[in-house]
Amino acid sequence: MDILYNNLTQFGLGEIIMLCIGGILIYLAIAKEMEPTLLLPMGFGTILVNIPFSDALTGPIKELYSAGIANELFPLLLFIGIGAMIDFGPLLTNPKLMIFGAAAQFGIFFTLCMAAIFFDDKDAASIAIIGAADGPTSISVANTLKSDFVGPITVAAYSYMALVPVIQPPVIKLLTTKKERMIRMPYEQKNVSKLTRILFPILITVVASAIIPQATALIGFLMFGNLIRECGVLNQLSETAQKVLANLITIFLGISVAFNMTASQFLRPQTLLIMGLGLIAFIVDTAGGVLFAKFLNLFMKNKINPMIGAAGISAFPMSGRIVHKMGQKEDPQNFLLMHSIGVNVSGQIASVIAGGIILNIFG
Amino acid sequence: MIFLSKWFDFSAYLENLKEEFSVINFEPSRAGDMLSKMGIGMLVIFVIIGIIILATVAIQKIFSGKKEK
Repeated sequence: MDILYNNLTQFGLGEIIMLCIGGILIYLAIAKEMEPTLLLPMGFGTILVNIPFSDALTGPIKELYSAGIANELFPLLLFIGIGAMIDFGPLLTNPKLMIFGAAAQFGIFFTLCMAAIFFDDKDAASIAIIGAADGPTSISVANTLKSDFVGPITVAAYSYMALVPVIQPPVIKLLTTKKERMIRMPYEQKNVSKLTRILFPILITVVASAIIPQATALIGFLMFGNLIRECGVLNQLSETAQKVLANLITIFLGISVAFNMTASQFLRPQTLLIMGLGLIAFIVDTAGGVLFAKFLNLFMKNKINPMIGAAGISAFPMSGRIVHKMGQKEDPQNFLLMHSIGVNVSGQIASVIAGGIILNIFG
Repeated sequence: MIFLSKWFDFSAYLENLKEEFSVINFEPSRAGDMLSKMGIGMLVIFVIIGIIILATVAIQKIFSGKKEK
């Protein structure tokens, strides 16, 4: 009869709390549709690894973690799929918009300064990269730097990405006036040649990697996915990358990240700090983009709607849509979508470059 | 009963928590030390993005120019 309750006696308060956290992640994924592709596998994986003496923890989840997370392989493979999904057309119509993608990475470096107060360099850098608003980049950088907090960092990154519609609007409203939010930006449809679309990912890879070699894998795999899409001769590969590869890797990534979600690794006071610093990163990212746009407006004849600066974070396409909706709320005739999506896409590029810079400085 | 006593061993849990909190550093001066890295990071991002913008504009000008010919 001992067999019935021997393992039950091994449950501690920590394990019970983590089972509840796993349940909360699953609830958020299903009921609130917050990043379900990652939060659901993570939530279920959290349950699996917090059963005392779980063979999922010491067996397949550990193997998946070693095979794909510890060597950064899964995030990079996922980047191929993400790259294949991205259309750089709106950005190529007005390449100058990329500057807002750069400005919106300010939150990463600001959070680096804040996190350094509480953590050592590698952990501070890993926490700061939550501000990249990009899950694969966050996981990849945190693993490369061998941070002790990969689990909380991943949960923070994906949770806040899903909360962008809640986080960004108040920050944007606080930093802009109604008049500024009503600035119209007419969109000129320009044809982007196929050759430009093909050369663009190659150009970005060569330029970024030549200056920051530590960004080569991150930016290279993202741009490889985009090149598959744009070359026009690999439609089946492009479709596979966008659907099958992306979905498969997402399943493996979500469940194997749970390896870091044991009670001993997650239930630490530092986890609360990390959640707080991650929120600061997102807020300052948004503020950085908006304030940079306002700064540029001091010198420009044709004013930019400063809200598009906020779209420079990598939460694609949510951030771009939020900015467009906010513009429409102030002026239903104001169509900011193409501009905000262009900036949003540039944020994807800039966040990966920022990840490479962090690896260069602290790797 | 053993299961329940583990649950109510709050004193041991609180002791563990105290130890965990004591491990958290608090060094405000390190924020200042990181400012230079912040500056370098932002400068490098702007430089790289700036080069990409210029190169993209150049590509578009070259190949749209060739098309007109």
